[in-house]
Amino acid sequence: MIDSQFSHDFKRARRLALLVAFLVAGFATAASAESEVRSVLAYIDPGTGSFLVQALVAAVAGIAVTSRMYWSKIKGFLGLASEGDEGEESSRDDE
Amino acid sequence: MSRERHEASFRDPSGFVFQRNGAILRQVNQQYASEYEQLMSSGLYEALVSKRWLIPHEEVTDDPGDAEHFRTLRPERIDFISQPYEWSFSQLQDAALLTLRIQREALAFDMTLRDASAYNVQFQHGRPIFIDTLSFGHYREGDPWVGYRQFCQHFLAPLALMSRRDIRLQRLLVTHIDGIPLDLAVSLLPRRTWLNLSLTMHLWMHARFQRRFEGGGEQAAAQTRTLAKSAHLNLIRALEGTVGKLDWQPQGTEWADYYRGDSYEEDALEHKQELVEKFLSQISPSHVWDLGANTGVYSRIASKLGARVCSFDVDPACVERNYREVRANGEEAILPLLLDLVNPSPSIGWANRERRALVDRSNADAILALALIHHLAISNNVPLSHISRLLADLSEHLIIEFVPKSDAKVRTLLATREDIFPNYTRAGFEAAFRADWTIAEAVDIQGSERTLYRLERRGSDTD
Repeated sequence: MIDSQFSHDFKRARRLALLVAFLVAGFATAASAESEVRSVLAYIDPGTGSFLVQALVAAVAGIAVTSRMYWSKIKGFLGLASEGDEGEESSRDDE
Repeated sequence: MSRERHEASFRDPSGFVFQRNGAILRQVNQQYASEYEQLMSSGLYEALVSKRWLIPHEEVTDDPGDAEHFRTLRPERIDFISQPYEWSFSQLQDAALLTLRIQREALAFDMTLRDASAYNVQFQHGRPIFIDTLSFGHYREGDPWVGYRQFCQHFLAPLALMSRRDIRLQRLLVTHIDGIPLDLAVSLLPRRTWLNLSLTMHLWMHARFQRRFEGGGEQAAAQTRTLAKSAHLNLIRALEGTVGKLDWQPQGTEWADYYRGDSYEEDALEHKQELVEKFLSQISPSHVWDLGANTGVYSRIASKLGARVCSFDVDPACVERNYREVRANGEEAILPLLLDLVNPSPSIGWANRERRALVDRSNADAILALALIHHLAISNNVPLSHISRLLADLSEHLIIEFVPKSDAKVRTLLATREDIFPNYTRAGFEAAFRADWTIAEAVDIQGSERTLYRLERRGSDTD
């Protein structure tokens, strides 16, 4: 019980630490996104701030997916892979 | 031919919903022609309709339309239009997930949702279904998701507040027709949600960024930015994960354990169920409203007899349990909804006509009001004549249970307050209800002091 609580907290702390790194990466991605004039067919206001957050979330999610893949490969290589590590993020995806 | 435009159908210039001779139709305008043709010819429409994600429609050829007219559609009729603030936690969550899955599917066909309003989803045959056929726009490589902000306001913010702060904060959707403003949402969320990376980004940072850019000073610069399709899909999957992981367990509220308590002796319960079944068979309604349905025991008696049932309760935990049962068993005829009968959903939006009040949406041929009247009359001081009048406005048949003062439940209600209800007697009940109803049948429920009535509205043609 204590162990699982600890590992839960540890996961959260790790995520928080990753957040900082991702934010830097995300801002860099958003800032360097290719420039092109477009007019999105939009009858509602998409919001400037909302667009920037999308770019950031997408970048963080991309990094998370990639790092999870590599992390599981490393763990697999070391023989540490355990059930339940995979697919935590997308447990409801395939309903 | 009269074409009466729907009061909520005015924001999107792509078309509008109207009513003609009782049929609900949708005009597609010329300016939306190319999007509509892509939806229909790309395979997206079939993909969505075959999964029952999007409402099916047929094209109508006998409608002349107006100057903007391109096509007229007749969508499958939705049985009962419910509002997002009447849904349980899981209903709102399922509607959110449906919206995201549709966006993912649309991207595969190079289309995108142009909005993400919770009002685009309805419940039909027990499952959520997307009803706005004109929400789909062309997707071009690099387009961000225009509906993202609306998605967060209509779905993610209320779900996070319901899950992490208080289930009752859903009511903020009544006062905010375009979803809960994100700055308001984060001011109400507990600080510990900062530990959740997804909520931090979608809500806390989102709110911060909105404030930062609300002047629009950098708008032009931002609009030239692009989001690659793979990144767009990452965004949708991230949202699916965030929404799917939010949770609320129905417990600790007042009514969810009602049937496990001692409110009824076994044989009385059995007799009551037999009577309800008998009365319902005599009426044979096509649509029933079960008011104070709890988790829907009597709603299921009605649905087994072939009726479609709106199963209302004031307790979010009851509605949640009811919906989970509907979902688990694939029940198609029952729609659980949240309703506080002493303060039902108002008309909201433009000119107070955009989203209609509950009392203006009745499709009921019969109402079940079981173990309800003492809560209205005694807990809430509503006079019996008022109760009679409201129910008569809603339906022409009524099955109602009278619970006398000698009943244990009523004694509990009166234990802590003065009895200011001299007319709350069986005779007083009958006198008050005779103003609007005739008593077709009244049977005492065995093993209890309660009476079950079958009433017919005065002046109704009841054959």
